Amino acid sequence: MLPATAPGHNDVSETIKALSAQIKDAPNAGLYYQRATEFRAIRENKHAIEDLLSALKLEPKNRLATIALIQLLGPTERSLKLIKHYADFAQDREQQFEASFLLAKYYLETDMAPAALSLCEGLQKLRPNRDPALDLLHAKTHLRLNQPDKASLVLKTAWQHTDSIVLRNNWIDTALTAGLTREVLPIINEEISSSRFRSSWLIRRARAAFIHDDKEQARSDLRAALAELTPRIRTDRPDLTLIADRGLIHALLGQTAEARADLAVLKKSTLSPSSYRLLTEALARD
Amino acid sequence: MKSLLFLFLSTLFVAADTVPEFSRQAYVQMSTHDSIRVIWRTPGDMKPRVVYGHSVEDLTLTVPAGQILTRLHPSLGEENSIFKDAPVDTRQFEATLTKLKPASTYYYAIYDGETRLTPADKSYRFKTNPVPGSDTPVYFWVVGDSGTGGKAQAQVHEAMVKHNADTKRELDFYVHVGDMAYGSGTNKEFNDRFFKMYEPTLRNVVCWPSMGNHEGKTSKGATGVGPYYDAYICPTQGEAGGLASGKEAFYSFDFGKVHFICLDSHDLDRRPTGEMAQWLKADLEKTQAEFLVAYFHHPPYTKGSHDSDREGQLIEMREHIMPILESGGVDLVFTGHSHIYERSMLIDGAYHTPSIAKGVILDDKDGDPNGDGPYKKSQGLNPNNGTVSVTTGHGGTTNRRSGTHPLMRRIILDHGSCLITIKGDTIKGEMLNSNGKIRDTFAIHKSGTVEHTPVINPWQPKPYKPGQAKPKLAGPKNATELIASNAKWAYLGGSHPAGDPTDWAAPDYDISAWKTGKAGFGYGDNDDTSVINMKGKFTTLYIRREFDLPANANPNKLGLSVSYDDAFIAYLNGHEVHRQGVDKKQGATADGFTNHEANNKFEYFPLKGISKILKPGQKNVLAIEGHNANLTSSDFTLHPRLLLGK
Repeated sequence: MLPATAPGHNDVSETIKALSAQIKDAPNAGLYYQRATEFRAIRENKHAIEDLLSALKLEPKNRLATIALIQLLGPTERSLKLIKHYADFAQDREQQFEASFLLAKYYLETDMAPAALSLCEGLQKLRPNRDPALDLLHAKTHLRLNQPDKASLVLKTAWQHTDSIVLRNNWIDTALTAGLTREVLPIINEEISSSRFRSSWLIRRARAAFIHDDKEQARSDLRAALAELTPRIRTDRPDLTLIADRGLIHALLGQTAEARADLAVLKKSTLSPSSYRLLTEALARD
Repeated sequence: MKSLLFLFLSTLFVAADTVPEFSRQAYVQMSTHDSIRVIWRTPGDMKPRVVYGHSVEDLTLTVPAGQILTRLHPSLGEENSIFKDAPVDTRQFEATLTKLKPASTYYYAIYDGETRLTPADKSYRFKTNPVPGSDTPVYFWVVGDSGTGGKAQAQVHEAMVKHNADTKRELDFYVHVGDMAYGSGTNKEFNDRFFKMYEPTLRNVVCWPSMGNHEGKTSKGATGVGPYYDAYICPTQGEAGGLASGKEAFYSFDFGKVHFICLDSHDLDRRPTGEMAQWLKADLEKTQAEFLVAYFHHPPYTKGSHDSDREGQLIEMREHIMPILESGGVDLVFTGHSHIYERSMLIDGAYHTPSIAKGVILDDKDGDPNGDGPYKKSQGLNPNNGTVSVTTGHGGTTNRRSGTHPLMRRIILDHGSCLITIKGDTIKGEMLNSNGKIRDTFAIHKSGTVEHTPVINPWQPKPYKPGQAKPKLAGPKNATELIASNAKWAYLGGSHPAGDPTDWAAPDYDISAWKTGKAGFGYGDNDDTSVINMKGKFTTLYIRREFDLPANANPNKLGLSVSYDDAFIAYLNGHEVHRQGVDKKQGATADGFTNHEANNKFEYFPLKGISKILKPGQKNVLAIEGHNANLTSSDFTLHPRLLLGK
């Protein structure tokens, strides 16, 4: 009864079967893109890539297929070629922005942080009202270049524009990495007094205390954080973000073996290393 | 005559005065305890004004034009523009009503200058939220995957409206878990399949949405641009409680002691380190609510029209997001996408792929207050104390089941929606089907301290094998099948029969070139024995078959039992005897089709006035032309039986 204009309405296998029949009769880029989307849904990325390549063969300037292929290929030479190809045919400012953003991300992922930074700075001018995805990428680039103070400034400005709590919390974390506590400490204290779960804020206050060489305060906060965190962590299938927090507490308390055990769990998981960067850095300092 | 003319003219006058040319009727959005938005669209400019007050006769407060945001087509200005697929002259008006009293009912009207556009009707009203944290009951509706604009969607909505009228209850708000405007969530599809359908509810009840994959064809979570984001106003700054997300794609709001969280499972990073998960974690740390309800489109647990063990978005929501929600103490999770109703037992930590029951079911009873009793949890929000997960993607499109999910206590293949009440220390959930019947009830009682250990050998639902479901037959009891289900028929597709439009139905018509196959005929919904490759190619299928009519048959007892999608015309011995869902004409010129889903069931149609057509004791011919309403429809079904009652 429904016009079948979009994938996902039916069971994925059935949709793939129906799209395959249509492709056999009259192939076009749109059908290949739709089938690639279905293959992606069931994680058959090899087939998805083949379909996206077929789509681009029929319609080289198909934006959706280009972007999907870039995402599937990851940071490879092939995706770099595609990003540049996209930049060539981008039709408006939005698409040019998108192409540059993808290129900046590629540079960051392939250890070309200076090039990524230069692109981010250019893009930031096009987004005076901020774009959290760009702000986070921009800050990450600064962090990669060991410029946490600059990362902190980017995030603080972005937060003040958007009120996004994610930007605020990332600003606080980078400010602490930069050793800057004056502005963030009042916020941390306020969050500790008003939050239901306080462990992540206690960790932040402990980091600030270490900066001020107040080891006693730091250890007290870390122990309180650990006490709150432990019952929240299921042993068999935990929330990995809590494992990262616990690992960091152990590392900051000098409990290296426990910290390494948590790090091992995280390394085996699907989490990206940047998400437990603080833990890795804390262990490296030991 | 004069008085009739006067009546006609005054009707016109009243209509012009009170029925405006809205391209999108007035509706309410983003209610808080002291504010709400009233939104509408017109196909051209106007001088907007909203008046409101505590009584429909006494609208003393005003939002003047200068304080109403007017949004234009991007060709007329880029700032605050609506999506480009709306007609160029479209104006979207957004009025913010502020300084309202909490938990209070207001009435409103929209004016164009001095002309009142909305009627003086009590249905143009809204109720503000209670003060966050206050001990106020909440009653809300949850529906998903409804946006067909078809009969089933309307029935599900009407069933809810009738149920509330019968039980004298009013919704506080409603939640849509996505796929509200098939197939691509365009401006037109939103108008036809969402706003027109739910208009009487939307004008006085806020719909809090989460984006489905179909809306995701035209709207993007990362940018907040598209028809979906034009239709809704969702919090970005924590305006309704919860923390600022900076994006309308994911947000939270408070209603009394309940915290609601909406996530975008479709097109944003679902990893635990992504922006959405970071916000979720922060939001969960902060809330002081006593109940926690989350909703998003892609279900972490389903074996309906989708399989949560196979599909990436579903797996990621289970593996990455559910751990954060459960360690934050979530009570209830609502999702859609899979066209089925599935309601879990009380579960925790079910993040495996494939899903397994071992070690994750905290209470395997039915949770029904009138059955095994409610599920029990500790008072307040406690980590990993048990979740009930509900897939409610049965709001209007074709339902389907592909297997049995081991965490589910109820699996129901029936159109419907959910009605949820949170009062005192108890959450009560009901599944209301499209006929107004409560098909499932569960409750969660939160009191004292409750510690759970997983049930060692939990109850398990019966296994299901795809294709095992038998269709629901219809017809008189003890009827004789003159033509049985799955009988062999001659059929013709891809061209129309030669001759006049009904010649082909006559007994002596030459069908030697026609193919033969077993009923049902069709494609696309897994219910057809003879699959016809007609999608995108043709919309009409002709079938015919001889049958023996007993000499003593009572012609008044003959009837058709048909599973069909969308419409058909039946002929006996060349004479039309019944038409269903076709307004006029027949064959190639047939017109005016009504959308209809087969839903794996037969419907019975008694045949009247046919005694002169039939030939008792001889061979007779039943011929049927089946019609699909749309060339690119996702499915078609024609499966007839001929019954003779006693």
